Amino acid sequence: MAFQNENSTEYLRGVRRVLIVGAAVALTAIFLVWRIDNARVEQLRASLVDRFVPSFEWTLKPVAAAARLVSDFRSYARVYEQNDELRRELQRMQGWREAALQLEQKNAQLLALNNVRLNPRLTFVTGEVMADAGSPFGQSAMVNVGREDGVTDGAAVVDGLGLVGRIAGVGEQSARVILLTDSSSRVPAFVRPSGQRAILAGDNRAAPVLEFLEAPGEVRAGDRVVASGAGGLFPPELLIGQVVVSPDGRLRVLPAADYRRLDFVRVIRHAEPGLVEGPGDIIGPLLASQPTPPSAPAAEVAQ
Amino acid sequence: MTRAGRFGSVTETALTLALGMAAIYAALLPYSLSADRLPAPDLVYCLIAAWTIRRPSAAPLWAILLLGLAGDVLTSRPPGLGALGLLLGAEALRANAGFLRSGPFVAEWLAVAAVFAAMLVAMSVALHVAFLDGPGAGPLLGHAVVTALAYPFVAALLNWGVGMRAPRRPAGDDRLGRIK
Repeated sequence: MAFQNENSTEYLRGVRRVLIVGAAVALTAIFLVWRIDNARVEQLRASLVDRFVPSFEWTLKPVAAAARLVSDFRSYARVYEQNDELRRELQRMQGWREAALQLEQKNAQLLALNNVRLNPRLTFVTGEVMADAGSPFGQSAMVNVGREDGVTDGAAVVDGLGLVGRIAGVGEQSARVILLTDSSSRVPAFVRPSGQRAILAGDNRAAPVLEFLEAPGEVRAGDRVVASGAGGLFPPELLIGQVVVSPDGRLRVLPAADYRRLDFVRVIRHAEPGLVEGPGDIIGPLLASQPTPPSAPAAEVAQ
Repeated sequence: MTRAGRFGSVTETALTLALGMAAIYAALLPYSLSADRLPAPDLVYCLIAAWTIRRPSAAPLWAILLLGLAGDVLTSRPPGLGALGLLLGAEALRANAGFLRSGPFVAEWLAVAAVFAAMLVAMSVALHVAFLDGPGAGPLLGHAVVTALAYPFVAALLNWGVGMRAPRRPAGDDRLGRIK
């Protein structure tokens, strides 16, 4: 009896070992397929997420809001200091507001004078951040707008102020946003006063690194960084943030978008301007190649 | 010899799955998207580790696979890799479950943390072998530390909240096996 029992557990252990090895091989195969045919597997992932996450989306927001309420409650302790700080800031802002109003009027006048038509292809759709998939392996968020709303892969995502990231993976009703801080995020950028091009590369820190600068010496902390639109990826002149110098001497960009309070984002639907292919042709009918029917105009005149 | 505990074996597996899904759900909460916030602990791993050490029958292979793959798909990890790490880590713990059960809790805690650190290292090595940029050492270390800190809470929750304790052993050298 005991022998029988021991024999069967031994047998079960063998089966179990085979199962574990089989499962490990299958999982490795999944990883390899993902590595080789990334686009299709990511599409599958997007459709799976699209299928499951929106069904409990209605619970995600309230729970996150409650968690935030708790952390907000802690900041009540220093409400007095904050009030003081805000009052000082408000004073400064009023000066800026005056300047902005004057500039706005001037800008409107100049635009009216020139009769400029602003880019009409730039439209946006606003979505709510549903879920956050922040782990060391990826900084991304899910938004509740998808293909049905005209969201496309690679579209730029902004909050009220600046660029948040880029769409990577679209489902019917949801899409995944790769944040600028993700280690696979690369955005062509333009550093404003010195006019240099660079690539903004995320590295899982709060401030992404500026890479491939021609003359890093000309860039100062506080310079504005905007998307350059190189490669037609993003609409140009989209604000990204400000240059900061990190303690190790590298140039980084502090994003203008507030990642801690990301509730609503805009996905920009940007139709790429058509390429100019070759020189223009002669306008109008070519005399030699277009024989005019002689009777038609005559008949019209007669009537 | 292995008691089914307060619940039947099927109910326990269902409980594992439900708690695992809740842990994935917690990881999905859009609390803060800033990259310099505190790293989130891997609650699914803590849960699976605690179950496999205390009640190996309640965390069967297929449940671990299901939770690992669901976590990979939903939290945008490389698909398959996270599940593979979870599976191998759980098996390493399962092989030593008897020993870990009978030792003090600190030994179990250290073992769980060490296995998790090994999993992260193996995963980033696998990413490098596949010519992918893995996360840097800093975020991984933070992730490992926070997960290790979360483990006692998960174990306490399972112990007192769910009433899941290690099966009674005839020798009587059990640490948590005293069922009143």
